Amino acid sequence: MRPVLEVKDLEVAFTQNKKEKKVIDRVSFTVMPGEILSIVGESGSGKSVSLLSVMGLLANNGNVVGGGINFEGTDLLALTERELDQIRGNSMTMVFQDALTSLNPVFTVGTQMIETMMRHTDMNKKQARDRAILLLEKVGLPNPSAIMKKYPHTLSGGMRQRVMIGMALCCNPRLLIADEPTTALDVTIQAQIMELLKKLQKEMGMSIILITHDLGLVAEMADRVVVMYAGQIVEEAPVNELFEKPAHPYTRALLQSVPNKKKDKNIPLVSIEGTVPENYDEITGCRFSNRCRYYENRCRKEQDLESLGEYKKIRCWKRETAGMMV
Amino acid sequence: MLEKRDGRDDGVEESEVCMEQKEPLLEVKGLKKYYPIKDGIITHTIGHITAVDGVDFKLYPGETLGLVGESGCGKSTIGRQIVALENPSEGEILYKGRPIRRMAKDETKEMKRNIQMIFQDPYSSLNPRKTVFEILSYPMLYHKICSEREAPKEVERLLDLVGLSKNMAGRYPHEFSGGQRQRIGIARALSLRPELIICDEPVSALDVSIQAQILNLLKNLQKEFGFTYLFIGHGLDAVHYISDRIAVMYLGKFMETGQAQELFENPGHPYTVALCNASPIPDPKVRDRNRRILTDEIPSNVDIPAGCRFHPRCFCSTEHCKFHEPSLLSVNESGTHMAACPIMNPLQRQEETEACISI
Repeated sequence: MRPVLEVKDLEVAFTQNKKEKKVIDRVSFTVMPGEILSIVGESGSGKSVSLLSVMGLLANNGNVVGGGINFEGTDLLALTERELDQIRGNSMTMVFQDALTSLNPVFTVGTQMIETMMRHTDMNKKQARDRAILLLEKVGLPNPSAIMKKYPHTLSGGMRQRVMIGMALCCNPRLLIADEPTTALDVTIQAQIMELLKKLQKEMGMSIILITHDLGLVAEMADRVVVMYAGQIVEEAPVNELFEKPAHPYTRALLQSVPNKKKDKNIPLVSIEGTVPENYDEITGCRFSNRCRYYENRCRKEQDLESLGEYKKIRCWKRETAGMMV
Repeated sequence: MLEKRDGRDDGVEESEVCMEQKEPLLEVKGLKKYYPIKDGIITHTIGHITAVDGVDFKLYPGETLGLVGESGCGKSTIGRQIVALENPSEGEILYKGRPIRRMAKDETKEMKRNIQMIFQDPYSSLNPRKTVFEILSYPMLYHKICSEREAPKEVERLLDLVGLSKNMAGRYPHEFSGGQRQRIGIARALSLRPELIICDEPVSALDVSIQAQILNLLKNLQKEFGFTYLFIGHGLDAVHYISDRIAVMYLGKFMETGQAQELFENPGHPYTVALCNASPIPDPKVRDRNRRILTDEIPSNVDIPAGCRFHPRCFCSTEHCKFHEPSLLSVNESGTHMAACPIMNPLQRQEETEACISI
């Protein structure tokens, strides 16, 4: 089967004060048709930046400086802005964390949805309108024709996110990138949105990339997981394997730091002390080493992402003992 | 110097014993808060937003009470009223048995020193034009906790207490990460040596790994200094981790209160069941479990549903629920676990509801 999206050795750099800082370092992953891939990491780990570069939405001072992005056989980096517009929002769409700022406040929901469809397909206004109502119904919004006439600020957070998802589905995308779609929402609404995404994914057979820092959501949604730290991929594994046998010390610590109702409350949570280092592009060797409990001398040497089996990859010198660390 | 108070004993039994003997530190009686909605050219009130609609609870020294609920349920409003940022529309807040709104001036000042708050957003709750040293030392100077000469030393100690290095005192808030800023917020709350700290969603804006750091820090500080916490949050797991007792709130009212463990193991209200079901479990093997996910969203608090306010979203509501508003009833014999649902109450549960709540 041919992957929907193939990112290979992607490198992204931002220029600030005439200095170039490489924030994404040789990131590779693939998304197969009908698959949910989850990308996990702390804020500043580069998970959003990698997907923004896939969408061609990097800020002006950001540039892809190496690697390739292949979407259904098309090299996205070779396309002009106009050609990219044909794919973006059409067969590849994105849902952002903050729905209020990603919707246009001066147009009604209906106008924005109709515009998207008329731009990407040869529907007339009437057809686009009917389809918009159908989609809003599909994402579980009550009374869709009334919502069409509403402005984004009059809707609640959960409703806005549903509108965003409805809009993303306008042109039957083959890939939906969801960038922390529920971080700003209540747990109850989060559960609703996640169920909705799962249902839509099954119905329409699209692939989803879910960017999140919530491991609970990963466990509920993903087929495969990519863990990012400081601009690099540190581990990649199928979801069951990742939760059962996390191999990288960072993944392990992340899993242990989640409070859980089943855990004994008197045992302190495992926390990863410190923060993601600034200027992590200047570090040679393991970028997690300053927070790692298993640090030793050889960690100062550069380590490549190594494959262990078809879908399992890890970047750690201590991988041979990885299964035994507690 | 912050002197160490009696260390809190671990274990639930201990704290239950303490609770009966000790006087409550804070008592909230029939607390209500309405915000008027104004309209018209000659402005007049056309309705009210009900934020808090009759809430009673007691907070004992050294314990942590968790408040959970969806956004808009009034949990933060309760916190803001306790620190006297807002005045209640009705009801009373008693601090050590004395109503906080009718205290003499110097008593009010002392009370305000004793009740501190940690805010949700570490970005907007610190003044960007003040250095960390200023943020931490001004309150202490105002309350005459230390002299200007002692201030640098005291600030150093506070920074050390919350796990920041002392040479950070000269920096401005924007130079810190989210987790570090939240530590500064905590240090500011500690600087006045309070007895009660209101934590208003202190970890919601933070990354998972940083959340664990802050939760551990709050717990350790409590062990060391015997603080009392009112912990407001919507992440059930975090609230469960830090709290001794939990109150579940919905549209301005308590739906259920009880010991943290008991409440989750044996929920007495369908809303608690729904909240537990909504939070994702970090274990992919149980992802196909039967979950009861609430449909719809929290109704507007201008127009609160009649009868039980949860009935339009409830999975075991009956005709009865549409007309009769339930009050908190005891779920267990000892009366430490209360829930406002007669349908799910095991002491008066009927057979037909048994089926719909077993998950």
